[in-house]
Amino acid sequence: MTIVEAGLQPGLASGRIDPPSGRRGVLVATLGLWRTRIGLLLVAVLVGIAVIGPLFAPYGGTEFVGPPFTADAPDTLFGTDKLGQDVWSRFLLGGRTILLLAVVSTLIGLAIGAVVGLVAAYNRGRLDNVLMRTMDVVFAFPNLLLALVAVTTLGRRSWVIVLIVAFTAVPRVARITRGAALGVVERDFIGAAEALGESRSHILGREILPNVAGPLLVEANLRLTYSIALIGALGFLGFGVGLNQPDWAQMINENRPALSTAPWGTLLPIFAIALLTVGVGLVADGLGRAIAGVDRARPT
Amino acid sequence: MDNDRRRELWLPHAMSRRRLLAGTGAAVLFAACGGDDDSASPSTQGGGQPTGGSTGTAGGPATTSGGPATTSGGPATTSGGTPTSGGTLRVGLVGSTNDLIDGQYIVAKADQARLVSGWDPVVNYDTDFNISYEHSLAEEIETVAADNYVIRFKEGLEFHNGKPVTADDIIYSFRRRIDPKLNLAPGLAELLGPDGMTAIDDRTIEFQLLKPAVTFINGLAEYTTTIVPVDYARFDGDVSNQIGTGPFMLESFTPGTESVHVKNPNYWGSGLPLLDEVQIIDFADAQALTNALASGEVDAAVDIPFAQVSTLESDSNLRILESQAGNWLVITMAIDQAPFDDVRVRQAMRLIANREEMVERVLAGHGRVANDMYGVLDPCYPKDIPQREQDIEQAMALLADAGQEGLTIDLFAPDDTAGLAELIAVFADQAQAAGVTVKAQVLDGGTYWGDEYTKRTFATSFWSTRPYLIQVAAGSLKNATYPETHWPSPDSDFAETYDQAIAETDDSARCEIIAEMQQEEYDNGGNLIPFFYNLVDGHAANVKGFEARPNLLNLDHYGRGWKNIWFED
Repeated sequence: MTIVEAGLQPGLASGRIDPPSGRRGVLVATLGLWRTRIGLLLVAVLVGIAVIGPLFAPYGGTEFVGPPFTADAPDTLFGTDKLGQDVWSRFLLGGRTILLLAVVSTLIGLAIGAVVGLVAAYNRGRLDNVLMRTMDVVFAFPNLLLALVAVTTLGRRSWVIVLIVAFTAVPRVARITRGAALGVVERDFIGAAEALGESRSHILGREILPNVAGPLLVEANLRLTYSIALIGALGFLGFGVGLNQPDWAQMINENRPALSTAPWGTLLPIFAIALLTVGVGLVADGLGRAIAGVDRARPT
Repeated sequence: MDNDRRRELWLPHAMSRRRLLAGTGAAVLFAACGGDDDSASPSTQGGGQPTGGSTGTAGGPATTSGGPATTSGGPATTSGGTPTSGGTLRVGLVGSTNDLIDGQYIVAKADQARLVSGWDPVVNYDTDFNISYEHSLAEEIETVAADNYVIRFKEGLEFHNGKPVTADDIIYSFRRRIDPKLNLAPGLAELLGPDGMTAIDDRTIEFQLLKPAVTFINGLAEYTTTIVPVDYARFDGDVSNQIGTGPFMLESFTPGTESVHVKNPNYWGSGLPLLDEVQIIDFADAQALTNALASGEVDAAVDIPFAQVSTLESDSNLRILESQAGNWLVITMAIDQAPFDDVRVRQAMRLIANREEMVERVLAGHGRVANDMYGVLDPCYPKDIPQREQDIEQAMALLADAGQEGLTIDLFAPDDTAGLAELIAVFADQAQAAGVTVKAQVLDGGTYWGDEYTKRTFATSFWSTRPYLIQVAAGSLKNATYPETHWPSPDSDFAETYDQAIAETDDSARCEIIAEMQQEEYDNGGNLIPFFYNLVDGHAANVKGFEARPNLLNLDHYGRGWKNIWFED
């Protein structure tokens, strides 16, 4: 492609530099990987529990059903928790919060990080330096510490948790996006778009972004696993939202003292969070491999 | 400092309410996960008699559930074996680098245990919480008038170093207690001036109070009202000046780590103590402590989290020691703030509470239902006032009368006191049935006990066991130390009745006045007191001498300074 050609054929200005097999090919390749299939299955099951599980909860989340920390309390599947509430019901009810918060905060972090990375890569020069060095500063703070400070000073509210988790995701997303975009901004079709007088937002959003979508998608999945883990850690440390509201992370903390006598209150949410994280991670891994073409030669 | 709950009326255990740093204290009673709660429940009085043959729970109402007072070394076992001498007892408790040793003052539970090892009280209480001279330095107290008392001490008392206890030491001890610079017992300082004591002979002292107050005797029964030698001062690195009259002498002490106490050869109790040495070892949290007990790293542990009790009970090498106590958690309603300025709304809240369920859920059964009145171990506690039960219908009717149906209200608890967050969560759950939306909010301890403490409309608190009148002065008068409910209302004569009671030297007449006061708080007060919780400790099966009985301090009043404790081979 030359600039002249591009000028003659505007449609080509929206160039794609997808892997040879194309976008559909990536998806197929991704789904062809066992790790992706397992990952998707895990995510589907756990999202299913979180979303429709509440419909099947035999008791209310705060209902008293028997003596606290009794593994074999009558009429319960997994015994009772710290306050004598049904572990199984709270498990079914407790996934929504963490999942919702993780997804929303990842999306916000992804959006901001992508914009920062694209702008930095496209503009280069001083703005690039300012943006990326700022990202480095943010990057330097331990995530959990930052989140604890925010939650302690601003209060235990959902929006605080969402924003701070999103905030900790921004530098990483920005870095990945910039790295991927650097190779794109040099391409001829960008020059073509510039020559056509396309607006900067058009160039960033329509020309560059689609070409970094692959790495960004992988990063989104990775960030989601980190968000789940971070929100889980906050909840575990008692900085989650809502006193005694069913929540996987809080359940782990509350029921931990009875790990030896009534283990399910701790184990169920631990498995759930762990498997959810692993599942999302496997999907990210599969996507990454498919995009990079790592397993292309192997039959799947 | 207004956020400092270092209080009291001469009740020593002052425990600062804002339990500072590093979990100074101990009581992670309920569920281990309560954070670094600390400080203990300040208890007030002494515990039960060691002999007297009462099994376990003599004296108190039955435990609600779960409280089978599994004694170990109960009378049965004690008499089953012959006490033998010797051995080193390792006691574990939750402590911190803020631990201190002072023969007349404590902040955290760790300090209680160390104080009781080295210093005996002037008098104390028996299992029925009447004044007892056993285990005490005094032989007799004569009440000449409500403001005049004569105390005769036992003969032949000696300090750790063999020096006889003299009238000078006794007067010094009381002057030290009321010294405004040390501020060990501000309540006592209000009653007794530095010149209020006269030595009649070398072991008899006359006390002339500044005003009539029969609660003076309760102050004498505080375990921090001890006798120290002239010029005694708090531990400051040198063990040689930590001299008292108690069964064990301090040999070494590293705050936050451990203290070692050795047998006092000059102890006045004949043949006691039985052990050669006691080590009091600090742990960072209740979980670590419980693990240490289970693995045999310590022989006894103070405060077993309720959630762990059943696990430990199933271990044949361990014994759980559960004592009824008068410690309570409370939901407080400010009686002069809307909506609680209407007594019907206060009553509605009290009727919403399902107390049995609260005992089950918050205490895992390790406590007993309360009736919105405190001072349950006080001999004057009225037993004929009917138990308030949950009555949602009546609660809703009262709320409707008051124009408060569908009430939505914030209820606050601190995150540093085990049980309070759980209590408000359960109350919020129960309130739904009455159409009341309780927004349960847990605040960081520093914030909670800060400037807003005692100003909130709907909040929570915790108290230790105190005699009724002393508790009134602490929390239920306009000028109380911690006026949480802003009681009494201006049109009540509660304060005058209190003055009357405190000047009444006749026990039964005073009990009648107290019953009247209790009735008024029951009818109109701002306290929602759901339960009294038990003290639950653990020890190895071969440790003998601990008895489960109504008590004010853990581990059977720390085995009264460990003097009755022995190892079975």
